[in-house]
Amino acid sequence: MPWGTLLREAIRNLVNKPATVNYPLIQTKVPSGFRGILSFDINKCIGCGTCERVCPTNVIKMIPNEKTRLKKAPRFELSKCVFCGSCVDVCPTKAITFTENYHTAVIRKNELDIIPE
Amino acid sequence: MSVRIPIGPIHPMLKEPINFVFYVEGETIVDAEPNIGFVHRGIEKLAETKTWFQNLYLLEKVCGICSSSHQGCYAQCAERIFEVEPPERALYIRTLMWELERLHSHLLWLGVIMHEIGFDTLFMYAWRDREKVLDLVEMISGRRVGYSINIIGGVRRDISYDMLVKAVEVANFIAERAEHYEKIILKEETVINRTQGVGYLSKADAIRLNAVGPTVRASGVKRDVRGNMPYGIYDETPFDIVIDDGCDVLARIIVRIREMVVSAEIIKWIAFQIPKSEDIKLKKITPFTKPPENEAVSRVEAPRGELFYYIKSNGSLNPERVKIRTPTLANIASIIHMVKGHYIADIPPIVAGIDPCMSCMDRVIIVDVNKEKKKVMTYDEIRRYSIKWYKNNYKVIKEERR
Repeated sequence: MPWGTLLREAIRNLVNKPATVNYPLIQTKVPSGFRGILSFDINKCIGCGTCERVCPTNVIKMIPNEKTRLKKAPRFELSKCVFCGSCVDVCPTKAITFTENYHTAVIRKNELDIIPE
Repeated sequence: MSVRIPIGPIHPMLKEPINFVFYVEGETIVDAEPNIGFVHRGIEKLAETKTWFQNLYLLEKVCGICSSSHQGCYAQCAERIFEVEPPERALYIRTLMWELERLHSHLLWLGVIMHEIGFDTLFMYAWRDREKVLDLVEMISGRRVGYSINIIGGVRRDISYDMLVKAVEVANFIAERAEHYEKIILKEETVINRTQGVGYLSKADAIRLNAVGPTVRASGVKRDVRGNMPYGIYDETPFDIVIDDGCDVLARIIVRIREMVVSAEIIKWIAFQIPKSEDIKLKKITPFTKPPENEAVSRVEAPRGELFYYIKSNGSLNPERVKIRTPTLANIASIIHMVKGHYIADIPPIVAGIDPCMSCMDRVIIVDVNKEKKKVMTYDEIRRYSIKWYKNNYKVIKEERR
């Protein structure tokens, strides 16, 4: 290979900033519309249970709750969640939304769970 | 020798196990035997228990790299069962995602093949460029790998003007880089010595063994579902099917690099031609819509080759049967043909040449026919062995190939 084809790029890389991010110290910015960990607002929920029926990984289970109109509210086992967003799409009152939080590493399995109170 | 074809969705692709038995005489391979079926996940059976919409997110996980191809192929098949036609803008967005996926898959593969032959500099560069595509995909769909953008009857998210501008930027950048890589690879002696003439698959053999994707196109056969049997908007899209007559691993590298340029052209064409409309999905298809009794097949050109889906519906909320044929399964037969007559050190570039699983050869058993000895090597060992062997026998091989 003639000199200069790859050498030029190699020299440029010595000056340029690294392409990687020092992750736990620096938090990367996510674009708007990012599908992160779910958040749930019990005040908007009517307890219809559509989210339970569409969830592909059985994350959502309807449990009795006095706050909603139909006396039921979803419980999320987020360790099973694949972030597909089916529940966000079908929720008639927009009670389930995505956050921009992508830190899913936890010590205990149930740490991420959302249990309505 | 009879070939046993396992039943079920087996995906001997990246990071999934497959076992080969190579029969060698000295350094030369005389025969090879693949053993597949170590990662039978039962996806086809599981798909029968899930609803039509839940399957979108299940079948996306068949393959991490071609997730959109699998999901799109399933959605296309399901649309034929529901007898609906998605809106045109949805088809454009779907195709855009397919082509972006092809870009990042080929860049990933370029890094892998360069790593196999010991050219780690280019591996780092290719994977660094791939991040640009993944960032764009994340911006469009919300996730880097599982895009989940296709649904039955359209796509879930609309694409904004800013995203299209970014897509054109990325396409220009990748096309420029692909041309740069082609220049490097055609001049770099290390790459040429390790790949030229290695893994020879003639045009007749490629057709006989039913190879698919870039593997068959590198043998000079114009076999591409996008061109031969257009789906989506490919019948309107102007593009060339890239072929090469090299028939070896070098030709497979060149075909994939040129395909990146073609994909970049398609992305730019889509960004300028995408119709302006509001509807991106059909309102009449909801997660609880039941299809008629029907059956359909669907074919999509995934980055690795032709992907095939067959689905049968019995009119209920779940499909009755889902059958998937992935491109790697179609290419396994050609690996066996390609390795015969080559050296042990040529195994990594040949097997990686079809874009299969990296841990494919997790445990390679080498049987010396003369000495009747068995030796088990891990994939990493054989990679290191091959780089070392080529270092020592470099001059002999160079003379021989001339």
